[in-house]
Amino acid sequence: MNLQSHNRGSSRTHYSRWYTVFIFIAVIILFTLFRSFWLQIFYDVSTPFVFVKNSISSSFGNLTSGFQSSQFLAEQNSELKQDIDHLNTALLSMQALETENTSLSKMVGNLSAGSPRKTVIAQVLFAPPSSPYDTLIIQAGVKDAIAVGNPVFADDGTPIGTIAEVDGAFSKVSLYSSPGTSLSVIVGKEHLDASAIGEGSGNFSMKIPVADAPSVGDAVYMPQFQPTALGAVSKVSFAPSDSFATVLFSFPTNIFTLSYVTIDTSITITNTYAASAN
Amino acid sequence: MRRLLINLVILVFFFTLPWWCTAVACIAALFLVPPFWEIILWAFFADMFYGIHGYLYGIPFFATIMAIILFLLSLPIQKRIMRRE
Repeated sequence: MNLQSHNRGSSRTHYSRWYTVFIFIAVIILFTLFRSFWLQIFYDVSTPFVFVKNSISSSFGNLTSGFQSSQFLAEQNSELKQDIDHLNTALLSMQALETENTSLSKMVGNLSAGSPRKTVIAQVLFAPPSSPYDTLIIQAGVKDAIAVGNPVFADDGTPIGTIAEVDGAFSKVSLYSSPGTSLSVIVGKEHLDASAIGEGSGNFSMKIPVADAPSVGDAVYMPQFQPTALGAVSKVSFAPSDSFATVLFSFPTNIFTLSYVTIDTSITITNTYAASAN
Repeated sequence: MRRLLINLVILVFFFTLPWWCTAVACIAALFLVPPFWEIILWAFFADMFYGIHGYLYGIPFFATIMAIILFLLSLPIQKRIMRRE
């Protein structure tokens, strides 16, 4: 009797195990076959969570701001004033560069210089550290004329990535700093060509001959988006016996706090080589 | 019931908290409700939802592979827990 019930129990466990495996494989096959459909459902399910998360974080931010000391605020105020001075100086040089650029473009008959950029502003639904892949999920898709390869900019104009996947109302942005992504850049005042490698979370590294090594603070540009900087060199390290220096830099903008991004739908970027998206 | 609740918690974590919080919750679930095979599904969803065509470091379905390895590694411990229960 006991043996019979034991056998019945073990065969039931056996069947339930196969049943689980069957459901598991079915889910993976269905998801892979109708990927776009399931992703759309996932995005729709995620929207209320994002709304609640944003509401909580904004109300929490308002709550804690009241507790900051006046001394801290005074210090922050003076720092911000200094920042404004720096930015004003930078703006003046940028305006001078823009004027020079426009006149040079006219001289060489560059027709595209005068054409208006078609940009779309999109809300960021998911950004690192929610996403483990250095990707952004944004609320703009095919219906907003977004295509794979369109460059994406942070709210301060910094180029941060390109559109890697597009769905109806949502898109995935692969950040230039995604691990393994290789990027052609120009470094410093000498306009040295180099290849930057994404290290994740907005950081990059590159190997440059010691003789040409830039200094800390030198700007790094992408050729397509000059004079907007991709970042500034934060560390240069090399041993006396090394022939190449390791140069580190990161985005000037904090990718963890991105709320909105701008997508330029009139350009397609092709000079990034993402080892992760072949 | 406990299993469903843990999966609901992971769902909320998946959409609201940093990825490592979800990873910690999934690893904890491996020992709380053995055998927690859902860890592979959650990793698969993460690959599809956050990954660009499911790739990271040139490896397709990186999170899924890691979850399968974790699940297999935890099996002896899970079995011991189930036997004790």
